[in-house]
Amino acid sequence: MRLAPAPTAAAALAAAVLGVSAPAAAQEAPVDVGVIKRSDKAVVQKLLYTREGRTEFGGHLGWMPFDSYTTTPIAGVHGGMHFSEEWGAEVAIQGGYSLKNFTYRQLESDAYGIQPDAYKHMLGVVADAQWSPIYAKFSWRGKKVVHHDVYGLAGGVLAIEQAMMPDATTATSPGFSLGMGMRFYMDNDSFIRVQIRDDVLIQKRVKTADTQGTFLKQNVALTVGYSRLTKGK
Amino acid sequence: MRHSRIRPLAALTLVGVLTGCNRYALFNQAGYEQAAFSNEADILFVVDNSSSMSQEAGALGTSMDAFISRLTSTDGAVAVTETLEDAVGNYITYTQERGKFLDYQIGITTTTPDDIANDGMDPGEGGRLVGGVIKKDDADVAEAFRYTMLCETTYWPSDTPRSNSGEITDCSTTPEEGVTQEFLDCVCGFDEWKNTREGTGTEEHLESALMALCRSVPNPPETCYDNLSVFADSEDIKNDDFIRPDSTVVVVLVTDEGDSSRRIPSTGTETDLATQYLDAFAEFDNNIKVVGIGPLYDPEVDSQPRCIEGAGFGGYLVDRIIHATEETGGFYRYIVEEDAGAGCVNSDFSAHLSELGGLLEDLDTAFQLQSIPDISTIQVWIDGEEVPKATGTAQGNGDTTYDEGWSYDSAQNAVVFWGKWVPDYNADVEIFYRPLSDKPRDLPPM
Repeated sequence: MRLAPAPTAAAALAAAVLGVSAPAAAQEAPVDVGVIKRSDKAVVQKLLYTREGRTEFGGHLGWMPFDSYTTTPIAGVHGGMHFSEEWGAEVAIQGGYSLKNFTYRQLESDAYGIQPDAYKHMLGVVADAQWSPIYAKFSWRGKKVVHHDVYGLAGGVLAIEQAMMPDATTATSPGFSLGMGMRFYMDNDSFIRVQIRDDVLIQKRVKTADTQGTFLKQNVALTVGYSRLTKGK
Repeated sequence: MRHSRIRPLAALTLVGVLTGCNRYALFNQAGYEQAAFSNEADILFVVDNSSSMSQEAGALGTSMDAFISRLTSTDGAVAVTETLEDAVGNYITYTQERGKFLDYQIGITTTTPDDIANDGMDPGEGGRLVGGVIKKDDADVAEAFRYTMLCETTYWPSDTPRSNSGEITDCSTTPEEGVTQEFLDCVCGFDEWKNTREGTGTEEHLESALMALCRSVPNPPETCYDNLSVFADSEDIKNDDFIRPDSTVVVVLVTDEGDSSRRIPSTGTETDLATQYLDAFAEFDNNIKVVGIGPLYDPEVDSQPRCIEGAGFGGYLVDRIIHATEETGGFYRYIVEEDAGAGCVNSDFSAHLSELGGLLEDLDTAFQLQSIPDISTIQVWIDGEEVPKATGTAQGNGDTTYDEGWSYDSAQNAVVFWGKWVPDYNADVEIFYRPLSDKPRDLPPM
C-alpha cells in the first residue's frame, strides 16, 4: 500500500483540528439498479473447450445388461459434426454378440426345458441429433478442474439381430433411439464419453408369426468412448 | 427446482422399467436321443425250465438261425470304404439294414428265482446266467445258443423221445421228429444233457428277469435289494456286466405257464398286473423291453390258456406277461398253436425270433411331447440340421400319407418322422414348440 504524501496528510489533520468538515451534500447518491430477476442471469464465463464447427471421431465399448435373457458386450465407432456448442449430429455403428444370461441357461436346463425366442444383437446403426445444454466443471479432489457437458440425443436406429434358437432367423429391426450422456474433456481436442442409450426396435419374429409376429424390443446400452475433435476455427 | 430433479430421475426409472419389459415367446424344448434303440442290444432269455417245457425249449434252441440270419454280423456290418461309391453304398446299407450293424449279445437264465436245492446258486437260478454271455462276434452264435439252451438250460425228463435209429454224427440239422436223445447226445456229448436240473413249477419270469438284470450291472438299483428277492444275500454272484451302459435290453420270456412273481400281490383279479416289475425295470438306466412267448391265451376271449398240459391256471397270470410286453413296447406271441389236424403244436419259433430281430432293427419314429403345442411354432432338428415339415396327402380310407420330414400327430401328441428323416441311431433330436397352455410350469425368478 502506498502512503499519502506528508503535506496532504498534515493539511487533513489541521482541518480536523480546526473543526472544518466536508459538506454532506458533496457526497454522490447511490445508484438503484432495481431487482435482479432470474431472466437477467446469463453465462458470464466463456467455454474453455469448444466444439462448434468441429468434427468428432471416436470409438466406444459398452454393454447391454438389462435384457431378460441375454447380456451383450458391444463395441463400435462413431463420428459426428458439432454445428454449435449446443447442437450436433452423429452416426454410430456398433457390433455386439449377445450371450445367454443366467436366467436363459436356467430355463434351457433339463429342469425347465424351455427356450425363449430371444434375439441376439449383431449390428446396429444409429443416426441421431445431440443437444448439449449444460456445460460445467467440477473440482477433482481439489487438484484438477474437470470440464464436462451433459447432452441428450434422439434419432433413428436400424439393428440386425439373430434368433438364439437353432433356426437362427435374422431380423432387421428399425426403431428410434433416445439417450443421454456426458463428455469429460481431457484437453482441447479429446474427451471421454459416458452414455446410456435406449434403442426401441420394432422386431418381426417369424416363429410366432401366426399368433404374434411383431414385438417391441428395447436395447439399452451403457457405453464408454473416446473421441477426438478436429482442429477448430 | 424440485421438478428439475425429479424429471431425470423419472426418465431413468422409466428406462429401467421398460427394459424389463422385453417380451419373448417361450418355447418348450424337447430333447431326445435316438438311443431308445442304440446299436447295442443285450437280449436276456428267461426260459421256463420246468419239465413241461422241454420240447418247446428245444424248438427255441434250434430256431436261433432265423434270428442270427436277420442280424447277421458278417454281411454288411464290416464296412469297406475305399471309394466314394463304397461310402454311399455303406450308408444305404446302414439305413436300409440297420440290424446288421447291431452289436448284440445274448444271455440265458431260467424262471427259477431261488436256490431251490439249497446247494448254492446254480447257473440259471436267481437270475444267474447259464453258460455265460454269447456275443455277436463269437465264432458261431447260433451253435453257442443252441448248446446253452439244449445242454445247460432245458430240463430233459427221462421220457425224452428216442429215435432208436442209431447215433447221430451230424447235428447241424434238427431231426424231423424234433429233439431226440440221440440228437442231444450229438449236440451236448453223450448223456451230458442229463445233467440239467428241473426248475421250479412255480415260474417267476419277471422276478427271475429282475434278478438277472441286478446281477448284470455294476451298480444295481435299490429295487434289487428288496427283502422279497434273493439278490441281497447273493449279490456277489455277477453276470459279467452282461448289461452294457446305454444298451437296449430285451427280456424274452419263454414259457408255457403264467407268471407267479412274488412282488405282485396275488388277488386273483385283473389288478394283478406287472406294475411292480415295470417300476423296478424303470430304475435301471437302460431302455428295457419285454417280449413274451407264452401260453395260448387271448384275454378278450379266454378265461384261461388253451393247449396246456396238466392243471390249468388263471389267465390273469398271463395277463401280467402281456401287460409287461405292452407297456414296454415289446410283443407277445403264443408258444403253441391249435392245429386243426394235429391238435396243439409248437408255434414257429423262427418267426418269433425273426420278429425279435425286427424289434431291434426298429427305430422310434414318434417322439411324444410334454405339452400340447401350437403346431405353427414347431421346429425340429436332427443333429443340428433342420427337418422340413412333411406334406400330408389324404387317402380315400381316411388315412394320411406323408412325404419326407416331420408331422404332428395329435392323437399321440407326438412329432412323427417320415422317410429319410427318421433319426438314425444315437442321433440327437431337438423339438421346439410353443405350448398352447402358455407356461408349462413355474418359471425361475428373473
